[in-house]
Amino acid sequence: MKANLLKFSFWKVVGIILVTAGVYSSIYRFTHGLQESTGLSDTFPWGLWTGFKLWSVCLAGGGFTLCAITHIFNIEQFKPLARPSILMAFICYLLFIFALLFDLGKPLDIWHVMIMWNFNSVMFEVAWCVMLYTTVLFLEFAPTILERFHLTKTLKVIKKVSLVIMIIGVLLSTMHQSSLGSLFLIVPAKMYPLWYSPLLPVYFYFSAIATGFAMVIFGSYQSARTFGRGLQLTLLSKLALYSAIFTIALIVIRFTDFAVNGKLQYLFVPVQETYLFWLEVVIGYFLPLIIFMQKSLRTNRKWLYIGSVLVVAGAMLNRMNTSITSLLRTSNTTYNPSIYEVSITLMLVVLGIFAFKLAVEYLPVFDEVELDEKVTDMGEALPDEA
Amino acid sequence: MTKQKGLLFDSTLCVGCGECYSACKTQNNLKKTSDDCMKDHLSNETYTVVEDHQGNFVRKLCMHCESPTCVSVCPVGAFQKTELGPVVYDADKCIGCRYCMQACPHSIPRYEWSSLTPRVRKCIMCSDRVQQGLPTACSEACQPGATIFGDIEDLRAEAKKRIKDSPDQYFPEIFGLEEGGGTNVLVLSKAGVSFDQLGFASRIPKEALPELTANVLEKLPTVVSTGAVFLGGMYWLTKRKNEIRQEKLNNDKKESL
Amino acid sequence: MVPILAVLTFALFLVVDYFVLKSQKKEHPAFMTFPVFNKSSLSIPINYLLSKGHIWLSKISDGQVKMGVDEFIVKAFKRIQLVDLAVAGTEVKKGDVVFRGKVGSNLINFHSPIDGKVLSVNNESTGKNISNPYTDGWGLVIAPASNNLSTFAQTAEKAGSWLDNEFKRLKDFLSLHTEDPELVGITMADGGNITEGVAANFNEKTLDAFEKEFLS
Repeated sequence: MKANLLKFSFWKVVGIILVTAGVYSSIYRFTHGLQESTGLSDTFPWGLWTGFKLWSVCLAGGGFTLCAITHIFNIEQFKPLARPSILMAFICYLLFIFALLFDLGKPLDIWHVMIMWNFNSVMFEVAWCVMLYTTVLFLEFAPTILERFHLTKTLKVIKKVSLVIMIIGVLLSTMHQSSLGSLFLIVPAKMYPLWYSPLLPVYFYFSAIATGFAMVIFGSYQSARTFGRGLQLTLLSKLALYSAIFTIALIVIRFTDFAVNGKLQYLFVPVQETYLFWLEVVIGYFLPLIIFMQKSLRTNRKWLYIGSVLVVAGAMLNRMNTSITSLLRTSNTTYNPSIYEVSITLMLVVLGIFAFKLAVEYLPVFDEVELDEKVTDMGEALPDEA
Repeated sequence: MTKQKGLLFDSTLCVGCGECYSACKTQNNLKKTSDDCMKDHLSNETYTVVEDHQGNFVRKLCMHCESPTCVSVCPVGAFQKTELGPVVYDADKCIGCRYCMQACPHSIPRYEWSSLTPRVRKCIMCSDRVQQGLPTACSEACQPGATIFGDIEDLRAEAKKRIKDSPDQYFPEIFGLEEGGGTNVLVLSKAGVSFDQLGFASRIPKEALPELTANVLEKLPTVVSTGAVFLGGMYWLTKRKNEIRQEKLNNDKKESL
Repeated sequence: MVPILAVLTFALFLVVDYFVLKSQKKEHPAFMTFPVFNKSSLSIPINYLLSKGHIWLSKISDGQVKMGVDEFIVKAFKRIQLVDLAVAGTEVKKGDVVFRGKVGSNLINFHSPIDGKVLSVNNESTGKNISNPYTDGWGLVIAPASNNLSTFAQTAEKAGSWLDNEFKRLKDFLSLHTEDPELVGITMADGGNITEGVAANFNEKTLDAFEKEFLS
């Protein structure tokens, strides 16, 4: 392990540089205020961090979907993917919370949401759901930690209530994945018509599911790359199909909405919004659909990976378009994120990846230890190059 | 019930003297931000400005909506619509999410971006004065009577009367009568000059905007309860299915032995 | 523009990672190429006899025959270790299990093609993945009961057409026993080629079937 720490690899160096820059930017942000550290303005109060937060939560969709599949719908074959997905979702939510702390004007007052309630506010609902769901994710992930330290008693208690925890988790996710879309319902006059729709909560919910599945695939490839683990390609290609089904639903609803609400003409106006919209749907919907709907491509390890990358990138475009592109025109301003915003965001991503790596190295994320401890040769499960 | 107060701004009467701008600064202890009020813009130190749109002078300030979006969206309830009409803000509650700024259909709230404990800033319709029965500072300062203060019902009637009495002088609509469910600040424009041309937000729906999210939020209890029943049911069903399959497997094995 | 820059950053990281791996002489799991597995990827050393159960025999002296797992099996599983080798001194009958192969956490049995007595065991190869099946990857030395080995096994010359048939049978087996033959390493684009390690991810049930089909 020690020798490993001292060995400098390319990504370790990049990671250290990005985190150092990020730490500097963080200090700058909290000592100089938002004026100097961000590109935000009175007419454009939400920027890169908001887009990043929305994307991060969207990627966490795999946590609740796989939980539902394996622990509520009892489709046992997907169990090996449940734990890594829950861990991934947990980290994504932590990233959301950290990004929020940077974004909030008065982060030290964040606890106000716990005692000052406004039931009319979508933001209030989002805040509570994030708080509760992060707790739920921690509880869902807790068995992994408890197994590591052989805390069998606590483990048994948690396993007893796990079904209730899982159901609550799925409900909370459903509520606030959609609520993040509802946040924008209140600005019908400000948003560009290609993104505003009364169905925004449905879009956000469905795309969180579609992207969640793709993220599990993408995450599996990254785990395979980093830890030399084998890929469970049969399972992953099934997830790709599920992802495609929700993508089809998204295409149908979004384009029906355009037709019904007379917004079709916006699809062909030669302005920046139109280009970004098409980029979003081609990368996020159509290309992955072409790949995932064909068995020969879906079950091919190269195309499966490319498809998942496209969905994840498409989700990024969608969330950033919804929260940034769509609002620029009516704000009459331009928004360019500052170097501090960018570097803090990159730092958060690096820390997220690092947290995942640490967890996998020290906790049985990929290998569930049975309660009655039948499994003895844990070391054998890993391929020898790892 | 107490009668709600409001402001009526008649742009045909405004001469662009900037007295309202100065009075507002004094009343709210705001810093001087510009020598020429016509060149200033709304900011954390400026609650109202007078803008010149091709010789048409128009004031910009918080519209004090009847169902304000800022009140509805604030997660900690830092905004409040007072009984008398002004929409006020409590900086001690605010956590700085800036959803109010994003959600405001008129893009009015401003932020103290350079502060480390920033506040949202906007016109509060001199809430303290109004409570004491006084008019707002801006209306008091206005010599030509372009901004008048009064009961909102009276102001609406007055605005309609002005348009009716001299239709050739006025644009035939009142901004703030229906926008986003109506506002406590009403604006009249010169004939032939639409509110778009005066820099007011167009496309604002007639319904109160908080309804848009209320519609969704009120569905949540139903979604959650049916969701819980559905998930619980699915768990039971699939579990049973697996058990039956397992039993069948076991039986088959026994038979084959 | 922000969304485009964000996506480009994401893409940049992935592309750079691809080349970083390349410079480290590693492959990204998505772009791994597996060597095609067919007759020409196998070498059949002369003076070796291949048995139907994929065990090779090689006469080292009169009354002494070495045996081990053939390259077909080693390449099909990619990682296979010999375990539970028969103890020196025991008599084995044709069809008896002489050693087992460990594939991941599963085991597969190998059956002796001849009668005889175990003389010695390759203790050095146990617990290690076989890399050279015909040299240091041997399993046992056996004293055959009969000197006429050719009735049990085939010579290198005859092995060619037999192997052709084995590859055909393997393809049939794969299409029958795996849900997605593509995933286990048949690349359709290449006209249904099998890749090395095609059997590496077999589950217990498939391994059992494989043993019945190919090893007995």
